[in-house]
Amino acid sequence: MDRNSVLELVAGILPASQINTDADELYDAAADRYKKYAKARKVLDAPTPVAIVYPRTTEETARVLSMCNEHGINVIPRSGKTATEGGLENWKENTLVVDARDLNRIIKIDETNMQATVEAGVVLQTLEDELNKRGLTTGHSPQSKPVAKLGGLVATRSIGQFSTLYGGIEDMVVGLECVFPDGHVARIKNVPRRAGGPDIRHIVIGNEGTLCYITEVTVKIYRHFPENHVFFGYLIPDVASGIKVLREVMVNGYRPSVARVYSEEDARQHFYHFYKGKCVLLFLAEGNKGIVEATCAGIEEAVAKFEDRIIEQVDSSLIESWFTHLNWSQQDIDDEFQGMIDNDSHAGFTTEVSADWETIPTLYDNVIKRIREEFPRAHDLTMLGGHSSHSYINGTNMYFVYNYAIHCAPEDEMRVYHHPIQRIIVEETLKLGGSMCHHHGIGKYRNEWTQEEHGSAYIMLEKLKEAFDPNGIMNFGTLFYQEEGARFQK
Amino acid sequence: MRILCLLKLVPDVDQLEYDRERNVLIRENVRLVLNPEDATAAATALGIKRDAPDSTIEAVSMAPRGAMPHLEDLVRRGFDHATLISDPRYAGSDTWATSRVLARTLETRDFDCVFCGTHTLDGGTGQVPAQVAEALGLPVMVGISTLVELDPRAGQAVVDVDGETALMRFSVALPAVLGFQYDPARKLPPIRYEDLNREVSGQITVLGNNELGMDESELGLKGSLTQVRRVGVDGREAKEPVLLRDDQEGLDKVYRWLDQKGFLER
Repeated sequence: MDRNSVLELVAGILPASQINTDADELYDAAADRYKKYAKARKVLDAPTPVAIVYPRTTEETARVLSMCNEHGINVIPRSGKTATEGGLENWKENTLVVDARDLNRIIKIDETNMQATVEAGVVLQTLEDELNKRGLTTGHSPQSKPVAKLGGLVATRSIGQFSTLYGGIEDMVVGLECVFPDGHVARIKNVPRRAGGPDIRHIVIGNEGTLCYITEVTVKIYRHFPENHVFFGYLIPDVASGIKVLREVMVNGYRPSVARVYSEEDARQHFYHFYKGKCVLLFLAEGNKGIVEATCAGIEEAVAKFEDRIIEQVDSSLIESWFTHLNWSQQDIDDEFQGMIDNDSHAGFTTEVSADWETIPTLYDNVIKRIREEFPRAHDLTMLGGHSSHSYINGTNMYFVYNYAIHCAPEDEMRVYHHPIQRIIVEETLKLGGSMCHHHGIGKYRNEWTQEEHGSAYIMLEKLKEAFDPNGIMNFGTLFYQEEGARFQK
Repeated sequence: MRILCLLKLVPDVDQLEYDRERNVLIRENVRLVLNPEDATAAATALGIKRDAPDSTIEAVSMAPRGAMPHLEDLVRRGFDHATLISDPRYAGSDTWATSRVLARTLETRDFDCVFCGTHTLDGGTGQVPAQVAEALGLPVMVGISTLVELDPRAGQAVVDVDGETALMRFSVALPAVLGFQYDPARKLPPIRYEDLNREVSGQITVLGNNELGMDESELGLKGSLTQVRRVGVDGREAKEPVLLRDDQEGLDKVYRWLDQKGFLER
């Protein structure tokens, strides 16, 4: 089928105002932030999709998906466009990007039952602003909050900066509505809990657009007490020391909303005005007054227990100031894009993994050592470090952060720099029994390890794909390795 | 046409550290970058090579052994040859001692012209181009914004020098030392993917004092006319940070501060 025939089919379902074939927009839709540098330099190798379509209802979404299923047209579900791992990158000639732009209604804020129902294209910040007016919050605050949308956040199993208190998006989703490729609309009802078989929400949460299209989401909401926020900051000698304090806080049952440890190199990026060449440990205690007091006491107890590893305490107003300027806006994204056009550099890359408490310090050290010793372009690294920013009773994440001076052609940047570094991080994580992917999603460039990530349980993932997307039209190449897509990965 | 490029690798300014006991810059284990004005000189030479492939261009750099990957990259970008002058005995050389070593190296080469940057990020004295030229008995022109013409057969180069008040054009007799200003528009070409791991060791020469044979008294701190007697930290006392909010009061304070410091044009 040629591209015009695809357009004709779409035009039979949606009016022209909901079909976008603008050349610049299609180029932009060919890839997400993963290939941001190549995109900015106009050397993307991914084919442009045929069109971006904007359904306004669940029914329209179902008709579009059903048509694509019948004709073998690849569908890339999109909502927010802040993906960082290639999940929105296009690897097929005949592709429709189905964007949730017009699914943008806040359907209900239910203050009695403490839940909010929104369509997939509602910007998280918009919902948060509405909730804040009522003294409420979603508790979800990824850096991309001003731009990210609820459908995308659920589809990628997002996490926010307050996750240590509120959890990841999977802890917040109460119910949802989604459309499968055959047009079937599934609604998962909103109940506090149930034991009605396996939790089917988890088939949808984190599916990265490979099984279904999310049209509506209901999330928990919480009372918000920003006036009670208390910040703590400490300089510490190494990452391992910070991990020990984090663990102590967590295993004693405290839940600061923010609990982080930064390596010296990463601290330099964020806290250059006070880090003194040391690692930084920080916390935010949040909630009602009683909980905040208890959390503060828990943090201070843990710090006291490891006082030999605390170099000095930092003025809490410095941590607060940093924290209030942490989120990206669309302007930040646009500025970075322009910077990549003007300079042979970008704002850096990250790879986020997780492991248990026992493993994470070793994992961090092993990765840094291997990159310094094995990465052929180590002399181009301008920054290499990391931070732990999401902790649990049994472990934490590690956000490896790196940047480099780019000395190759823009189209070669990923294979020369990012991929070899990412490979070391993923290999080392899997070797030590951690997860190669903490919260960005697998996307299209870690799919070669999806099977290794899940081991003997991979069959469960594979069967879901076979059952819900038998024709393989949903987001080709994301999550599941595809030989045909390997040429884009090399 | 035979062009030699004197290229200096300087510590990444973000990581610059100073040995306050020995009064020298610490160059070991610090990330190195090609001095921006030297990069402009190198890009100019590579441009000439691209347009006239029978030209030969060679990079010459005095640096620690850790600079080798950068010299390899220069060859992979298109330099015919690179020479690394590296010897622990050269550590701590000032511009005078450095110029003597560079001049000694250049004496062994045939060339029509020497390209370099005018200033370096880590020193900024701009003395090396003139001192090398003097030692070799060559004319020198620095602050070049544009190389208008380079004609070894006619024995002259025509260059534009962007002065503070005027753009001046000069004719310089060849061979000569030409020092370039930084031009962000003249970038080094990227290394082609196929060349990233190309074996280039056969195109790189490493010279030490055993090869150059200079007297020990001419080397390093001993051979340096500049002696740093004392280093003081001036005006670097810690100040309390001032935290402002992004409201009108905060904006007013920032505006007044910028105004007081003379950053605002009236």
